[in-house]
Amino acid sequence: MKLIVALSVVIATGCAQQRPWQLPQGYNQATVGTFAKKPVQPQAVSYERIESIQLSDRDCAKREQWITDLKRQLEIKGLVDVNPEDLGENDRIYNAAVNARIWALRIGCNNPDRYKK
Amino acid sequence: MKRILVIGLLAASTTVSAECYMRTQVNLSRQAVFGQPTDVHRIVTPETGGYRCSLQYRVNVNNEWHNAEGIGVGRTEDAACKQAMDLKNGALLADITPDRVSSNSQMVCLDGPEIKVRRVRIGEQIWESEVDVHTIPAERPYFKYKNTQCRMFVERNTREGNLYTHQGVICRENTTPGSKWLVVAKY
Repeated sequence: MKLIVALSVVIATGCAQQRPWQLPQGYNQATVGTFAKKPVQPQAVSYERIESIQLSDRDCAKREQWITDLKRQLEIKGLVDVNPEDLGENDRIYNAAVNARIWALRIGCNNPDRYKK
Repeated sequence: MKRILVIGLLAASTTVSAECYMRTQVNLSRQAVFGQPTDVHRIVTPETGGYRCSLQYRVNVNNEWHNAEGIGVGRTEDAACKQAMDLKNGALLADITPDRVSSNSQMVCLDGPEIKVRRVRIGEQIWESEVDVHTIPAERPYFKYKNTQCRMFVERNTREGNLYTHQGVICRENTTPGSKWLVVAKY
């Protein structure tokens, strides 16, 4: 019985002395308790994923969706209407891979006989 | 007075400059020409019974742009220029070099702007022949994009000791003959 009382006292003392929660760096004190969410930066699809996209005339039915999604990757990376000679190596090859697919859709889907031999 | 005259002559010589070429015997109708003559500059003069039309234009032969001239004669300006546009009446213009000059050489001086293949940037207005045609034959034909005539181009640049080949798209600004083109994409 004495042991139980002693343990209870120890536990209660420990809780009283526990430090208050430390706020993570970057959070505003005023937002405490409002469940403020840290904005999530969108991530562009990787270059490897872009390169793996093999388009064919079967994709023409969803051409506009494809183009919208591909253009969105350029927007995320800040590569819209940027001259390739102004880019570093990684951005240049990413920009080329995305734009090549955008224009393949725009040209190929509207001109089905273009690439026929 | 003499100083004014000298300054005037110097100013005239710098503002009125034209590139001059030798008219060759190379008949365009027998060459591997891609597309139609482009970036056309037209000069029409009256002649007995009608008009004489001289068209100075750029033409792509064997994947390379050349200056050329076509001459036609007709009762109306349009008839004369239609004849001049026919490749049968066109001849390449070559740079003037000592080995090409002979007693019966014809020299042609271009009145329009000097057009050469050069580096371009997105959004620029250019002459069509300021960019090369695509190296891949399947990518050379013109196509329609947003109801406008367009084509692909390639551009070769060197940077930091490396050779880069970029490709891009140019589209005609409007349907007016001789209109410029807009660099829509380059990547």
